[in-house]
Amino acid sequence: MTPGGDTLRHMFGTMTLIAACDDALRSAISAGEATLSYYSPRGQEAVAAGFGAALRPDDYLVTTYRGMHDQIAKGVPLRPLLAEMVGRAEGTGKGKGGPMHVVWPDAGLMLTTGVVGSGLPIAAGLAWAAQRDHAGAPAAGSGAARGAGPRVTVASFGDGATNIGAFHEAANLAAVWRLPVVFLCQNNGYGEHTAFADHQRTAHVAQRAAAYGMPGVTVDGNDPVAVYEAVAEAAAQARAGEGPTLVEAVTYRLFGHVFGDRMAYVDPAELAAAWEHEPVARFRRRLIEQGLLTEESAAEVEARCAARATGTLSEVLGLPEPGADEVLTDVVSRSLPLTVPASAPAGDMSVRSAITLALDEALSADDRVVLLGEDISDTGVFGVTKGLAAKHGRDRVRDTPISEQAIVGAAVGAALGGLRPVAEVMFMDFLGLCLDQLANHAAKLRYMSGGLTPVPMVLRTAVGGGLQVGAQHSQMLEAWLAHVPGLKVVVPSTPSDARALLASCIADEDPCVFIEQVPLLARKGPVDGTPVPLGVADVKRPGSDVTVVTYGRQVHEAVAVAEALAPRGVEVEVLDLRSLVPLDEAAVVDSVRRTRRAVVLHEAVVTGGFGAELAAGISEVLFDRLAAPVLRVGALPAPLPYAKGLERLALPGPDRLLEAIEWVIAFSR
Amino acid sequence: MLLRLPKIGMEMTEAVLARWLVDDGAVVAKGQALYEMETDKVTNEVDAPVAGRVRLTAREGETYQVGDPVAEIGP
Repeated sequence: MTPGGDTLRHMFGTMTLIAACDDALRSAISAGEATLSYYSPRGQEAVAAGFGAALRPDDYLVTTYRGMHDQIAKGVPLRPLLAEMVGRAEGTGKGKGGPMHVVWPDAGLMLTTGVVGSGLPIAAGLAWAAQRDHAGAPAAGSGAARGAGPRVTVASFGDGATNIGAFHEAANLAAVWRLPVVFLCQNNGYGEHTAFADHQRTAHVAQRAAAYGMPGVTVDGNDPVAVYEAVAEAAAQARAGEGPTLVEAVTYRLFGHVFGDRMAYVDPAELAAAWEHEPVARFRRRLIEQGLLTEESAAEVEARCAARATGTLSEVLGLPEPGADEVLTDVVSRSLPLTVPASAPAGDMSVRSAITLALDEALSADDRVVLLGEDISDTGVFGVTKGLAAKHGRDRVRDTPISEQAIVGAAVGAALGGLRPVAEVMFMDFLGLCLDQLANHAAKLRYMSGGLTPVPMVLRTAVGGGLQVGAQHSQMLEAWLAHVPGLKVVVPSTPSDARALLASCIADEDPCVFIEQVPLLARKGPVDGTPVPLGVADVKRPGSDVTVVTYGRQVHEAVAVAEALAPRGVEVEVLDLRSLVPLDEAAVVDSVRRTRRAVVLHEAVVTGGFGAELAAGISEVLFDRLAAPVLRVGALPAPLPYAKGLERLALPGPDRLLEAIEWVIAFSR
Repeated sequence: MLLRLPKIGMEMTEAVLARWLVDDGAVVAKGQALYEMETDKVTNEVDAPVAGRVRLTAREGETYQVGDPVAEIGP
């Protein structure tokens, strides 16, 4: 796979353009014309030029904040790229992402992340989508010249990223699933300011490949031909179904971590030696020696690149910033409320069976729907996915290693790649293991890309106190999620709602977290086929004296308390929110305007809970109308205890709700 | 010894006693399967915790709560 003369000249042009853009940006920052935090890729041009030339245009790339060289080499046009770097409306993400978050799907650039290592699980998900996309279909168009087969996903990252869990989880998952991924480590000798020898004991990053049963190769990352050959070979293996390869390209970061880094931690002799081997000049000499360039033709390329870089940067600096209307655009899809077709009525069933039914229906209706999670091809921990693998195949109902970051990251990547993934994280308490993927990636990628990369995925997760399973398997954390713009949060209370809301989540264009409270799973009820859009609350019991605003399992507790109060002449309205984000504010306001009293009830601890948001919102809108302060009822502020009596005491039982209702009824001002 | 319906797994609160695997009055060995119980999620066999003569008190097809007596084992 040796590159020909045209490819060599092309790679020289790419390297020269990268160096020219870097020079233009550093000059503009020095002059105070541009004010970005800039992570120079100078010194790493050969890696980018090498892999860029080895790939097909439709191959995917996932890169990092030190990514301009990768972006240029993959074919991202200069004007929107530089415009994004300086926050202009014409930027790749309309100026809303910034230099750390450039994407350009037309060139296969699906993600640039500012979080070290986080791109790797997402790359695995993109590769899964490509693998599925290719299953049974011949390679598309331009593929023939560089080998038929599925798109390859290149995950580009630094040596510093190889110490973070995301690297290990993604490498393992990609190997287990034989995904068409090339893990390309640009080993530039430093993780931020820490030298390679101080952050790992292995002599080469590539040695780590053995731990995952994949090939690992180390090449001279300052030689674009060596990188080209290694990546072309790895890509060919990936397309042939042989799975991932870890390619380590050893290079050097000539301008430190970030613009302004004085590199005081670097031995001056080491830096001087690195400049001696600077890849662009080295490759120029080589091509002139080989007769592929002359001094004049090389100088002409350099002049043209310099003019393009400075000219384009100067142009984009003159462009306007995004308009004020952009601040709330692209947070979520505009297509709300989403209409899901009605399903057939299904008679009486449990919440568990209703969820299974919704998953089964989605898998049957849409080939893009895939499930992933731990043990799901068997039954899943609560039996929710029972029978689905047998019916729809284990490649669509796919077991994962115990790797929450990889599960959620792969779902994000699969969604970027055109699938409709439904991921399962066994317990909500484990969200901490994958919150970066959910909160920094799933939630933000639509916004940061100006709408180019939506993430239509569902995360199902089980939770619930009252089962005596202790503090690490019980805690309702919906407030964490509702706090992050871009995520939707859904908590069903009945079988019918569970089926309809899950269908709405799967059809939604945004990431939805679907919370399955374990104590509810066995609860039975009728299941009709009426669709339930997200953001539409439901009055589960009408009343005129006080509104209990609640969701999930507590809906039933509230209804029971309401029934107990009715003989005493107190009529309690129970409003089931069904989704916290989007929130049906109108329904809350309408109800409390009538009853003039509100109690907010949830299973999560009161402190910092979603109830605080509801109580504040009700007070803001209806302050003059309220007959009593809004009270909150939730769990006591302690980790959920194990012993049965203590657990019951910590959770918000009927007694505390009753007390709160009586208090607001008795209150007069 | 009174045998009660066990809790198997995190969320189980009740189960159907699906089938007795021994006859009333049979002498069973410790570890021998006594009955099958079914929850929404799975079917489990429940073993004799001690050896002895078993007296079956629960009925096949009935739903029992965790902790409900289902049988006795005596000498």
